[in-house]
Amino acid sequence: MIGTIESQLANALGKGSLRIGEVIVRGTDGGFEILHAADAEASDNSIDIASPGLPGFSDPSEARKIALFDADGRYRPLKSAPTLIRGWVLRLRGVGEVREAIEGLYPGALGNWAGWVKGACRPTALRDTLNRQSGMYRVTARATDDEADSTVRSFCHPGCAKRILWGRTAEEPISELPSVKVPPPHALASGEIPLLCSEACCLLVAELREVVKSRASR
Amino acid sequence: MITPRLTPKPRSALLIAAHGSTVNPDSSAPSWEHADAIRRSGLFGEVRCGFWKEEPSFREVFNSFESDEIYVVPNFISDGYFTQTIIPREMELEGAITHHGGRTIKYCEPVGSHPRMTEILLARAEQAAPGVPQKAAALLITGHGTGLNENSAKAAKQQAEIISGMQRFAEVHSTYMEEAPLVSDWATLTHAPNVIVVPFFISDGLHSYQDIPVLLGMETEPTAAASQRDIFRRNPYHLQGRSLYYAAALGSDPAFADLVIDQVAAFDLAHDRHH
Repeated sequence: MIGTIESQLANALGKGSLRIGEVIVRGTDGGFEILHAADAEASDNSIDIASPGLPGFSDPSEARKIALFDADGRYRPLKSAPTLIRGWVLRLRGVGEVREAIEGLYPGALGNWAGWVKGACRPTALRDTLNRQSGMYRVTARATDDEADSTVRSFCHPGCAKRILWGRTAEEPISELPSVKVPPPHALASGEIPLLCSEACCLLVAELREVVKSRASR
Repeated sequence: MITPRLTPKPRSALLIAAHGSTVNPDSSAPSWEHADAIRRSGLFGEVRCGFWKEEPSFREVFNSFESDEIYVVPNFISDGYFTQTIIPREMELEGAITHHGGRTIKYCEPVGSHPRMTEILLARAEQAAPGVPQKAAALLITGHGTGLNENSAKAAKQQAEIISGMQRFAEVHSTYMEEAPLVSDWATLTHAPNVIVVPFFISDGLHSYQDIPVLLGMETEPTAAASQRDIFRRNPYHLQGRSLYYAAALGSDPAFADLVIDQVAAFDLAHDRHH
């Protein structure tokens, strides 16, 4: 059964090479390959030539292991951090395997994108996220507007490649976000599937907790 | 190996909900592995994982589903703060059955409530200390303990009571990282020459692999994560005149994938569904 998300992905792939996060997905004779964009550019200066020189994997579940550690062996809890390792290629047989591999590299990204394209992705405003925290994170509800906005600006960029769909509230956007952090104008801008953030993550909430507590202790 | 206990549900999806970790790479591994195994079994149209501390989150994972019926099984070692407060809040659940955005979400019992937990616990103890006479051993079932919800401590205590009733071990205790009886007091809590510690956790992650060994005195500081070391453990550890054996976490047993499926079957039974 091919669902809507896979159909949307197939349509996007039918238009040529795709960029998502730090990787390129492109068609080959046998199906598709996924590799780091920097390796794609390095191979023969042509993004259309398949990459025989890199260690290859044919099991889409290998993607999860590729995304797990950075080049220094440090764990990557945030998969959209700009620290994906280079030096590998995933060689896959069909769109289903491409979807599974992208799930391993960027968990949830295709669902977020497909939902956003249809207008069905409901972002959660930052204040709503903070107001429902419990336990040790409850204090984040006391973040001022300035603290919230400045923390988002410094913590979420360039540390995360996701474009932010939420505002501080339903009416108030996060102020002064750079253009790479706001939703793109089109579903598939320049052959790129955008990584999208539909809600502040636990890492941002933890960072805000530190900001609020250090202000309270001054 | 997955032995199906329910008829295939090609129009339904399974969501394995787990904690994950921002600091340890092995915390979510069992959930992903169970999802892979269950996906291969073909029992569900879709199988995904959602996490509290990793991606996809409990809330955003629903964007990835296409099925109209989603079974959610918490991959948690007990009912408690996460299964009773966090997951229902984050997933906007209204109890066992939620109708939301044209979908039906069926919230199952966590794997920790499954009756096979005892059998798997005993298997973990046996694997850690093969050949050690259980009549000369103290079994410590070691959980987190938290002030936020007492059910998680209760689950470890219940397993200790069940196994104590079997009269296989010289002593059986439940111990905790953060509440009494503390696992760090193991040497005064027990008398047997052999002590077998089974981490009452879903994975060999931060607490079970890195923190508890320090509390036991096996390590002076937290080691690297399990997946970043060459050897899992070097049992036994000779400490304070005893032989201490430290098991792999309960939840990293592949049998937990069967428990996930069983909790879906149990949900259907409890809610009178006939397929």
